[in-house]
Amino acid sequence: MTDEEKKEIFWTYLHGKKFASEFPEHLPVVTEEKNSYSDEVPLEQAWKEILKRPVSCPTSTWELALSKVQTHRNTLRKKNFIKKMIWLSVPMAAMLVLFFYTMAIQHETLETPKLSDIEHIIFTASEFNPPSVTTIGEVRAFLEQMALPVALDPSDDFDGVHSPYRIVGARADSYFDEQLIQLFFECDGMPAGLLIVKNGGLAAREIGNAVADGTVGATRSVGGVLVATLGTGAPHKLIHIVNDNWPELQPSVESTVEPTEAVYELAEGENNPEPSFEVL
Amino acid sequence: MEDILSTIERYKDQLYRFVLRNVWDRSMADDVFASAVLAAYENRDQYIPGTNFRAWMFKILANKCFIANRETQRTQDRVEEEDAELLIVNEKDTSLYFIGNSKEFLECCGEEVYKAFQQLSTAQRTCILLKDVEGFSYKEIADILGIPVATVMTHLSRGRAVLRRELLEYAQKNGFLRKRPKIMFRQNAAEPETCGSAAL
Repeated sequence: MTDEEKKEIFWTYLHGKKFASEFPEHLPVVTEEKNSYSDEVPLEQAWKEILKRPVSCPTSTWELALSKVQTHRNTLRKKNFIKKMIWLSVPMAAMLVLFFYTMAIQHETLETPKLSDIEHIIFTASEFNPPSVTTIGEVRAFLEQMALPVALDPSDDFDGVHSPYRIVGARADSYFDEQLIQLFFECDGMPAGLLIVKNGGLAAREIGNAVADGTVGATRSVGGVLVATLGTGAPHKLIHIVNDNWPELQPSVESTVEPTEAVYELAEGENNPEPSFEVL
Repeated sequence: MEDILSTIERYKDQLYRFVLRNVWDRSMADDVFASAVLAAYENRDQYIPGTNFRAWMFKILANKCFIANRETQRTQDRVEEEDAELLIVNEKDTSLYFIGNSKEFLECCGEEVYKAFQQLSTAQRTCILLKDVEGFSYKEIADILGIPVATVMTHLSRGRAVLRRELLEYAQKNGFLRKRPKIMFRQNAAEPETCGSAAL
C-alpha cells in the first residue's frame, strides 16, 4: 500500500463515514493515531461543509436543457420519417420495376403462332375449315366487303381451264386482332393459297420470318396490304392475281390482251401432282 | 421521455452543484449541465430502472466536465514537483494546533475553499465532490469514473493535501492556528536536557 493510500484510509476513518464497512481490516491501526490528527479534522470538515452548501439549478438552465431535448426529438422524428419513407418506397419502386419488366417480358414472349402452323391448319384435311365462299363470284363479292382493299384480277375466271389456277374458296380470319384473308386455289392439282394481310402488322412480320425460313415462297406489297403464297405447290406468280387497282374492262371489246405468260406460267421446277386434299 | 426527465428534475440541484463546483464558470456550467441532460435522454435505454440512478447520472456529468475542462488524463495523476514536496512536507506538524471554533472558521474561509478547490485537477475535484459532498463509496466512485479504487484514493489524497495546505496557510494567517510552545524539562544533571511540547 502506498503512503497516499494509507493517508486516505486514515482520513476516511477520521471522517467516520463507511469506514467500518469499507476498511474493517485497518480499524486497529488507525485508532491509535486518531488523536494526533485531531487538529486537522476541522479543516476537513470546513471544506466539506462549504462544498456541500446547496446550489439551486437556475430555471433558465433547466429550460435550456429541455429545449435541447426537444430539438433532438424533432430531429429524430424527421430522420425516422425519412427512413420510413425510404423503406416504404424501396419495395414500392421494386414492385413497379417488376411490374413493368413483367409486362415487357410478357409482350416479348407472347406465343405467336407461326405462319407455318396456320398453313398446316389450313391444308390438313381433318382440320380444314370450310371457306366462307367458294365460287369466283362469291369470292369477288367477299373481297369487296373486306377492310383489306384488294381484288382479284377481273380478267381471270380462275376456273382452272382458261387459267392455271382454280379458285377453291376464300375466308376471313384474324391474327391478333388483325384481319387476314385466305384464298384457296388448286394449281395443277396442288393446293395453293394466298394470304392477304395488312402491311406492317404482326401478321406481316410473321410472314417476313416465314420467308426467311422458306415456309413462304413469295410475298408482294400491294398498297397497304401484303400478299403471300402458302403451300409448297403455290407458284410464286400467284401473288400477282391480287391487286388494289385493276384497270376497268371494256365490256363490248374482247380483251385482246393475252395473259402474260410471265405472270401465269408456272415457275420452272413446279410439277403437277394429284391434289392431296378434298374440298369439303 | 417524461420518466427520465422527471427523475433528473428531482436531482437537478445536486447535479447542477456538481457541475458548477467542477467547471467554476456559470455559463459553462449551464451548457455542460444541459448537454449532460441531453446525453442522459439520448442514452436513457442504457439505464436499468431500479439501479443507482445518481451514480449513472454522475457518470455522464463527470464525462461532460472532463470534456469541458479539456482533461483526458484521469487515470494517471502526474506527480508534479509541488505535489511531491507536499507529500513529504505534509507529515503531521505537531507544532500546530487549532484554536477558536470551527464554526467561526467556517464562516470566514468560504472563498478560500473555493479558491483552493479551483487549483485542483478535474480528477481530484471530481473525486472529492463525489466522496465528501455526494457521499459515494470508493467502489462507486471507481465505477463512475472507470478507474481503479487505488487511483481514486490517490486523487483524494492529493486533492485533500492541496486543500489542507491552502487552508492551513489561511488559518495560520488569520489566527486560527498557533504553534505549540516548546517546554524545557530540567532533569538530572547527568541526563541531557529534553524538549517537550504541551498544548496550552
